[in-house]
Amino acid sequence: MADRQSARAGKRLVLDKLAKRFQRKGQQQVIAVNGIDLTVNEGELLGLLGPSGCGKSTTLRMIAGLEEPTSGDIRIGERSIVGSPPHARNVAVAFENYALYPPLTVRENIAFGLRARKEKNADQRAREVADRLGISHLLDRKPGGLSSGQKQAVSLARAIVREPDVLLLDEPLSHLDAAERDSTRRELKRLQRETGYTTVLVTHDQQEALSLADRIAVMNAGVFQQVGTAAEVYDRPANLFVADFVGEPRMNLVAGTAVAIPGGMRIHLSGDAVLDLAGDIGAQPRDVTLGIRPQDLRVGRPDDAGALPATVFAYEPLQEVGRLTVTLPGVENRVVVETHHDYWADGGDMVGLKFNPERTHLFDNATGARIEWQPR
Amino acid sequence: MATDKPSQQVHQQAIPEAQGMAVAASGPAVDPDARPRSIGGIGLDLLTIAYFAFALFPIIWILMLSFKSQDQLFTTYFRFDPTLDSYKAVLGLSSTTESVPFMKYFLNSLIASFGAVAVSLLVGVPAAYAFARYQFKGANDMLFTLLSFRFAPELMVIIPVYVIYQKIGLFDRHLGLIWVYQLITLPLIVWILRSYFQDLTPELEQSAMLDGYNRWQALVKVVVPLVKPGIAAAALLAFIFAWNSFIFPFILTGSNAQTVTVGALAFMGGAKPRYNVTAAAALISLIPPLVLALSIQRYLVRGLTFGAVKG
Repeated sequence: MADRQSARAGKRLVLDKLAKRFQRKGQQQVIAVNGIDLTVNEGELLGLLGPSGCGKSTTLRMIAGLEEPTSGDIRIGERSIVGSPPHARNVAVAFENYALYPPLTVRENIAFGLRARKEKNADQRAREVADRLGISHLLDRKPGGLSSGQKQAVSLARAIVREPDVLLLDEPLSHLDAAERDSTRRELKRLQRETGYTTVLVTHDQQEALSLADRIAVMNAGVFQQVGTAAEVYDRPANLFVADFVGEPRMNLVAGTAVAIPGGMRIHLSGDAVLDLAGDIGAQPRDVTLGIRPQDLRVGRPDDAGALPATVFAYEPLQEVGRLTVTLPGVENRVVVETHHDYWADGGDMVGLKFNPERTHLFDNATGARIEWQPR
Repeated sequence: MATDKPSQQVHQQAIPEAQGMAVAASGPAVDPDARPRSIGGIGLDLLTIAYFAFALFPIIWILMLSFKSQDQLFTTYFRFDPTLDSYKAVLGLSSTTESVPFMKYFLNSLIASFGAVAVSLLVGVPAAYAFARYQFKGANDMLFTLLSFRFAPELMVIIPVYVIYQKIGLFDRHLGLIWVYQLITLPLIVWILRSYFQDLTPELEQSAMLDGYNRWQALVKVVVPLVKPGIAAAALLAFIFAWNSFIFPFILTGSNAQTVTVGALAFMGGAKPRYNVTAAAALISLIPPLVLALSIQRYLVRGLTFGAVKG
């Protein structure tokens, strides 16, 4: 494709033991980012996913040069960019609130960066980028009258018109309504594939990260909890935080104790419930948390072989699926099960839960880390 | 008597009550019934007109005074023989009266007020920006100190300032007035512009910085143009307050740097107070703030409806 050839591919972005501490007088030091290592390959879209306050925005701001790291290094290609001013880094940001200049037209907004750098053909290049994003018809409008999706597109156009080495997207879909979100997401994916920019997408929305990113870095408390593909993060969460944070509906987490029995192990959940699994846990009993996603549970009759008896708390028939909430005897946390949409149960009914052993996760209670209990 | 005509009495009571309600609330949906609201609307109009007449009456009275001759000053109300003598006296065109260099005072006022606003803008725009964007030690104390200039009476500082000015030679100098006017203009400009800067999202400057500007350029080329309406509004307010200042020029100037507020009083001295000439002087000194307000009206209106594009 001609577009692809003309577009300059992005460069590799490396974060090396990057840390940022904030120190205010008379207050405790706040560690926003605590020594993270990350490599984003050329043309890769990396999703930086985490709850608010986890340090993801600080990381983005350090890459952009709006914040200087306390220690560590940031490299684009072979060049360290720490200490150089934002405009010298060739990094572009599409901000969450778009940050368009209200008095300027869309065309002027897109061309602004080129003009600031006194580059040639600013208007023509703005038009080309607008064409590519399908917003040419908006070029002479002002940002005030545009919809959120259109503003987002203009903001993107302004970011990529400079052909940055690294493109940073800050919560790009968070202010869009559902329909705009879907179309913008597809557009974003197509654009990134087509242009091959090295991209970091910062978001708290796991759908956004899972659907767009080649790899996801899940961040919490200033460090990466897990870095991997969407499948890795979703199917093999590295610790309790990732297990709890990624996935909708959320993973069921039940505390218990695992002991070895002949041919496998037995997990005594916090109440009377007992679950046998064929795997190796070691000789010593361990305090564990058992995790299983609602999709990986099957509902049957309470007296089915190998089924865990449970009492129905509530059943919600949703559109495509049903959502069954049950209580296990003596277990405080309720367990959610995703059922077929034509399932029905009433509160108080007795059911049997069958666990898909291959998709049953165990985490060490003390460290929160994943326990690899079954051979891969 | 009341029992004789109950319906009429109820009617009489109902109207003022509805009026009062609608005026007090002055918003929609106090009563879904249309009639009380329209009466309330008319009441509001009447109230506005009444206030307008009340507020403008002194100016109309002064306007009439300024066209009266000395003889008719105290003998006529609305019917008199208009004359331009007062204006001639103010502008120094008549040779009969003892001369007061009013146009010089006028010029002094212009120099002092424009000078004060210019200095305040030069200092206040960056200061307001810093107060809006950075958290630094003592920021709140400084802001409060600036604000305190506005609510502390000028009389409180005038004596020490007078003594100091006498000593360092700023008494009766334009520079001295411009300096002391900072007490009036600087707090206004800093406080008003600070809130304008706060309303602008910092991402606008950050965007500009990523686009290729340094911090200073981002401020001058992106942020300042966006707060232009705020600057216009703040500067106008500051100008009006500086222009109207009386105590500072009254105490701190002699014949050289005296302003119109003090100078107009000169016509009141002498054998008989010339109210008509004073009135003409007052009207002439009304012109600069008025012209200024009209010329930046466009910005003032925009200043109310303006803000960065948000999601």
